Amino acid sequence: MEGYLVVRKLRKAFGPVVALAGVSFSVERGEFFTLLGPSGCGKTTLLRCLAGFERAEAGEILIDGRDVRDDEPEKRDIGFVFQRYALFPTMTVAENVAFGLEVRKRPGPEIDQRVQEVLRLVGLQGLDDRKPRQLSGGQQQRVALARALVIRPRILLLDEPLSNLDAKLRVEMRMEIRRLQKDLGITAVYVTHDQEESFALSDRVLVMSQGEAQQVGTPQELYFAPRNQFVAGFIGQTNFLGGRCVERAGGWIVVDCLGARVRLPTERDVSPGAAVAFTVRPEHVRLERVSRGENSIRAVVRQVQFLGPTIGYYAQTGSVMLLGEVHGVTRDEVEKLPRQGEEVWCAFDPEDCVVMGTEAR
Amino acid sequence: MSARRWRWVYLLDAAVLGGLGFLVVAPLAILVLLSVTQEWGTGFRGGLTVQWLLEAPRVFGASILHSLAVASVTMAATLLLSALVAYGVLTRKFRGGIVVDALVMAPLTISYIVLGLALILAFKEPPLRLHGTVWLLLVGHLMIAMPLGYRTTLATLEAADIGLVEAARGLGASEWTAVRRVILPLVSPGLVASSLLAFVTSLQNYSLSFMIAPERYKTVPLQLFEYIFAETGSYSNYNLGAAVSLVLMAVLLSALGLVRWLTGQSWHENLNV
Ligand SMILES: Nc1ncnc2c1ncn2[C@@H]1O[C@H](COP(=O)(O)OP(=O)(O)O)[C@@H](O)[C@H]1O
Ligand SMILES: [Mg+2]
Repeated sequence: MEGYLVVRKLRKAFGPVVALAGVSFSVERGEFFTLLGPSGCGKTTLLRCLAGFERAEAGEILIDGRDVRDDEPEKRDIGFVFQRYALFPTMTVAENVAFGLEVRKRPGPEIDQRVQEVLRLVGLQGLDDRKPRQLSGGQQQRVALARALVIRPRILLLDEPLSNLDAKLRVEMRMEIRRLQKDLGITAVYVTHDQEESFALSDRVLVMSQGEAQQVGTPQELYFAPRNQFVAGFIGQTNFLGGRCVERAGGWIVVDCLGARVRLPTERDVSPGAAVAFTVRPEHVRLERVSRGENSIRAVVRQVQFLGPTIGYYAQTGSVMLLGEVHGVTRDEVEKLPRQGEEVWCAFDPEDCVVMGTEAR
Repeated sequence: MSARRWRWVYLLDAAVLGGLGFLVVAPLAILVLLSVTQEWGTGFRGGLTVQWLLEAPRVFGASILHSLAVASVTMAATLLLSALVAYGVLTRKFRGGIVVDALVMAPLTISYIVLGLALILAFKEPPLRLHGTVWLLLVGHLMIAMPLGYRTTLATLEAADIGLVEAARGLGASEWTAVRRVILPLVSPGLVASSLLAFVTSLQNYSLSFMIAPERYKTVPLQLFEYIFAETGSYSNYNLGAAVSLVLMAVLLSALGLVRWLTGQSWHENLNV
């Protein structure tokens, strides 16, 4: 892998806590790359290592082919947008934005021009003379963004920049960040714990858990082909199911799952009798009143949640609770859907199932 | 609550304020009275004079200069040292922050007389033969000024979010530039407060100076003590003593006013909440 930013086997521990356990990935020039994972999985630590605020114990960080691990933060030419903005409180908006150019000793007129340009870009014109504490959270976020953009960094790092904003503003701002990144051709590494946000923004996403990279790929790849249980569970919701293999034929296996024959696509070599784990997403599970033979599991509806665009079902069979979702139903159709207590068949297509693991022989 | 009860609360307030006010104001008033009256004990009846105020700088001139010099150096050294140590401890530049903390605070727990003795014993032989020189006086004053200066500086820095240094460095500033341009404006009022504490601690000190000040480098408290107690018999010494204190107070107040004016607005305004 020869990307613009290459991270190899990066390791960092705080005493006994291993924050990064050998993470590797590569980011192309102009790519929007996101680190996605639950709180505490090491995302911030990774960004801080990239920026030089934290020293990794082992591993490499290459930018444009050069190892930067020994470079001080001020020598790396990397923009950083902090979760809590970290604006300079004694300086005005314009002074905050101009700071990076001033320490680079750019001539005054150039500074003024570039500051105005970037303030216009992020929609903050006219607020030059405000102090940070006179701005709303969204505006402070924009100043933080402008301050990092104005130095035209080689790489822009963003650490959960939207987490302090309310839901509506968050959606607005993420569109804007994506637009700016595309227009300016910025190479960005973005951190979030919000799967939807990561999908909305990114070219590619790296899913992390407990200091380790779990899977890297486009949103589509992660969604349709999660490599393991963690990724499958973290990307949206999913049903984890399992059964014993009863039949095998080129590219397919059939397992006995919760009393039903379930056909699954797999290239793996599974022998009859072996245990197989697989997942199927709620949005691929239909509730039907008649069995279609294969891939239909009998269950009782326990809860129905009307959410507007979707209706969620919890259907029970034995000790297993299956999640199903119905989308875009009309007012008339709603009346005809299964109700709580009703017996149904949870049906799904073989193509929508992903085999996670098989028992080794 | 009934009106009656309120009246009691007001009365209590008035009593407390009045009592405290009297405790503070009475000695100050007597100080002023003493410096401008002819004779101790007779009050205004003895007649008013500026004799003491004029005489004070002449008689105490040398010790006033000594005191101001020692206090200024102590203040500067305390400011520099506490800023460095507090910044280092906060940013974990060195290990053992707790030990450093304890070492800086230790002199506060020792009687100054004993501290003076310890300093003399420690520095009376080569290689560091400081006893009998003004250097030992400076070392001693630094030791007793540091706890206050350091604590104040640390608290100020803690309130200022050291994370801003990272933000500035990420934008291309060296650590020094980051501290100077981002942190310093934020903490300067706190540093001024810390410096003033150091200055006053040095200026006021009697017991430690008594132990370690060189014979030829008397500070104001030392000379005052001699004037008031050693040469009893002449009341005029009280008046002169009061006048010296008044002169020093005037110097201090104008210094305070000057820094207030120089540092401009309050820093609370800039703290991000
Ligand atoms: N300065 C630090 N000192 C000690 N532990 C830390 C420090 N920074 C992070 N950690 C630990 O490292 C792990 C990863 O933290 P972090 O990178 O902040 O995760 P995330 O940003 O994904 O929430 C956590 O267990 C956290 O407690
Ligand atoms: Mg984080």
